[in-house]
Amino acid sequence: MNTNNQYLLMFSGSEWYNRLSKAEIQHVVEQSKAWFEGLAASGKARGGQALARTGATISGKNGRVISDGPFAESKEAIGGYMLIEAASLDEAIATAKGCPALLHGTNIEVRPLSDECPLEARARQLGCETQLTEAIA
Amino acid sequence: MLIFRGTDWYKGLSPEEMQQVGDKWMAWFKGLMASGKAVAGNPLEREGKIVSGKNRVVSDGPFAESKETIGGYFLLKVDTMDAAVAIAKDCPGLPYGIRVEVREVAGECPLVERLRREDQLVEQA
Repeated sequence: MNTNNQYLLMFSGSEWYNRLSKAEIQHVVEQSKAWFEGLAASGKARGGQALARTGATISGKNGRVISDGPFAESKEAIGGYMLIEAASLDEAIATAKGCPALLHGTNIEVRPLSDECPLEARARQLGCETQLTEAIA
Repeated sequence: MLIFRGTDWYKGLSPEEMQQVGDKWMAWFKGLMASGKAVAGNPLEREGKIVSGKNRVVSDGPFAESKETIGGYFLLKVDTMDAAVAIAKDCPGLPYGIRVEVREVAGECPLVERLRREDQLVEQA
């Protein structure tokens, strides 16, 4: 359930601007800044940051494999995020559609924040199913 | 920023195990918040949409590969990448196949940085 009206926008495609000229980059920067400042001023954007292009990924049982960077495929890599307020998923999508970098190949993943840990939700759901099965049996 | 990838890793667990991992995770997060090392964090709903392209096409997503799908994030406030990596290693989901991506928040928009770099190149030439 999402009742807090918060959505996370994640921007991917971190190398798209390498194809642009200096003037074009400047233009997108100005447009993006204006977009973000407008959202912040209206209270719709609660925060947002670009992410550095380097990083580490940790996985595996024993703490574990550390590999450099998330960037096997830079098209998929997340370049930044924005936390927004919206009354519905549709409103969040409408906000995302205003992103000036969409024109150049950025993708935006729009995800509602969750009020509840998905693990606990699933455990509860399974618990209910078990109770039902027992009740029937 | 810690980005937790993988949204189906807990499917094989019993409700008790899930509860246990969930409790451990909450305790981990609360500890980090209490010590000021984490400043925000949230699980994400499993439903979402992708907006892409010039025509702003909206598609269902992001679930092509649930191993890659982001399940949640923490925003940390620590001095070094190593400190962030050390925290990531404590993630209770790691033994079950979750992957934690550790990313530094950029001090400057990478586009602005690129512009500055080009200016420097021009000056040098």
